[in-house]
Amino acid sequence: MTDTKKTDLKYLLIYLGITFAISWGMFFAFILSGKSFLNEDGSLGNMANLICTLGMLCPAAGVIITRHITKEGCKLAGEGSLMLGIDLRNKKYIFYILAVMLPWIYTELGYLMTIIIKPSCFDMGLLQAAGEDSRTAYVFPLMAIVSGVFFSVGGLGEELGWRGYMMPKLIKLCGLPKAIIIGGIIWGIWHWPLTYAGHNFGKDYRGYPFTGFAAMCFLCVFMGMLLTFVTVKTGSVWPAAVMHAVNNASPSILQFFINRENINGIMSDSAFSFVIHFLPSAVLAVIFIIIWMIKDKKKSEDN
Amino acid sequence: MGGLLYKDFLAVKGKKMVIIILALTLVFLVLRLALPGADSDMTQQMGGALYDFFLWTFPACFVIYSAFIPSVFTKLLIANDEKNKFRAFTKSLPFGRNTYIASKYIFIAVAVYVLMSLSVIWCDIYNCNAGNNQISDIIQALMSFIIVFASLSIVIAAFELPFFITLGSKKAQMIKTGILELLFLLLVAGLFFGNLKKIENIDLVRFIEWYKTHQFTVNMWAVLFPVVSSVLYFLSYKLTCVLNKNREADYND
Repeated sequence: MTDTKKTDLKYLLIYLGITFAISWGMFFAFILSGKSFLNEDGSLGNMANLICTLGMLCPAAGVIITRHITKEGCKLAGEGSLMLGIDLRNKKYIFYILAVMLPWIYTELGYLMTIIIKPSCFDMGLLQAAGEDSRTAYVFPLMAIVSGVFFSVGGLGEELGWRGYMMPKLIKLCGLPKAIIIGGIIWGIWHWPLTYAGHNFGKDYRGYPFTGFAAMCFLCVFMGMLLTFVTVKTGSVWPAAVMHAVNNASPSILQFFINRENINGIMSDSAFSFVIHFLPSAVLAVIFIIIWMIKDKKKSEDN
Repeated sequence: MGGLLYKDFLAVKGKKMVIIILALTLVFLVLRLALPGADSDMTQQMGGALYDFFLWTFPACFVIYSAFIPSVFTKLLIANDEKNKFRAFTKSLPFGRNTYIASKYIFIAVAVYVLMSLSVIWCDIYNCNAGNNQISDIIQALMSFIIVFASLSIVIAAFELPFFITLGSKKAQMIKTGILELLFLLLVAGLFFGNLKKIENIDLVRFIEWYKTHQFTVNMWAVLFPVVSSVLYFLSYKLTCVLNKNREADYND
């Protein structure tokens, strides 16, 4: 291992140590307080909501502290920076559009998969039965996109750390394919205390909490592929931050027509159905990465 | 660009402001955790109701004031550049006038983004230990309007920045004061000659009921207002660039 690689590994370990210490400290303090993570209806409790918001800012805090310790500085844009610059030239704006639209596409495809597997869950009258304005469902993806773009601070907090600091170091250390898998697993492990508390899958699934841990790593590896793709292509963490925030807002029309009471068997298992729901995005992520690697290989051969 | 933004950050005493805001956020978080809110049954938990009444002023004031802070920044930024003859100095630097103008627009946009994000965090802090009561309903409603308040501050900046950058801070401030005085006179005239019953009928409870039954309208506002204000902001930047294209003399202040 060269000296540069050793330094990168050391800095990466410092970053991971700080980020995990701050965020896990907060997550475990919440778990040990005995407060419920989820409300009775399965929605996120108010305290849990705050813990998630603050937790998402921890990787950014980790980067700033690490850069202060390692004296790397906090340059806003350019090589070795925080990657906060925005450059739309050379058709880079396409990746910004992709970052906004892609979560909508794969979320709809995910719900479509659920409907294909369990057609009985599709219920057109669900909204009216719940007494909600059906027009809301049709504009919901736009709302999710707008709120994702404007309220992307949580996404930005995470992306500054994971895609803005960890991934460039990992890519330097072990190349793109391995970096995506290792980075995704680290990111997934970071979520484990929240998964244990009931985030994403609740607690009522087979093999709790270990299948949840595995499902989270699966999600993070493939989601990490897409986020790394847009970050490297634009040289900025902003598209990844927006994509992360839009993804979290779950932009979909179809979700309003899925009656969960009609879902039974293995598909009623929250961790399993989550993985099925996420399959289209995993396929898209693999396609993007393969195209990216082939193009890069061609470029290097031409040069 | 990074250097220009950092200069502007120092001009508005950004470092001091960040420390004050972080300290206030921490104090607010500690207060909220120490003073739990009340559930609907107020007779059982009068202490909680009082704490809620005291604590809800924090996020409410922050959300509303943060809509006007960027406007204060606009004046500070331009006045500081005039004081230090910075615009004359920019001619010796390796960037164009449009970059200077863009830096002001980006700085205000970043300020709005940060203040809006902080507003959300303050509302989350309030709600984390609040009971299930009317004030937490109001905070929930307020959270839906944060995006509207942020868009409002973007619209205000879109109108102010061309004046401040093109005419300078003194003339622009005079125009701004004139417009505000006119609005105040209209308000006073309204109070004297208007139908005051409408004001009497303003009721927060009715507002919350309206908010709950008109979710679609609120959501549409939340989608359209930020988009329209962002387009307006971009057009304002383009207008300022055009207005300043042939104003070489003014750049000497």
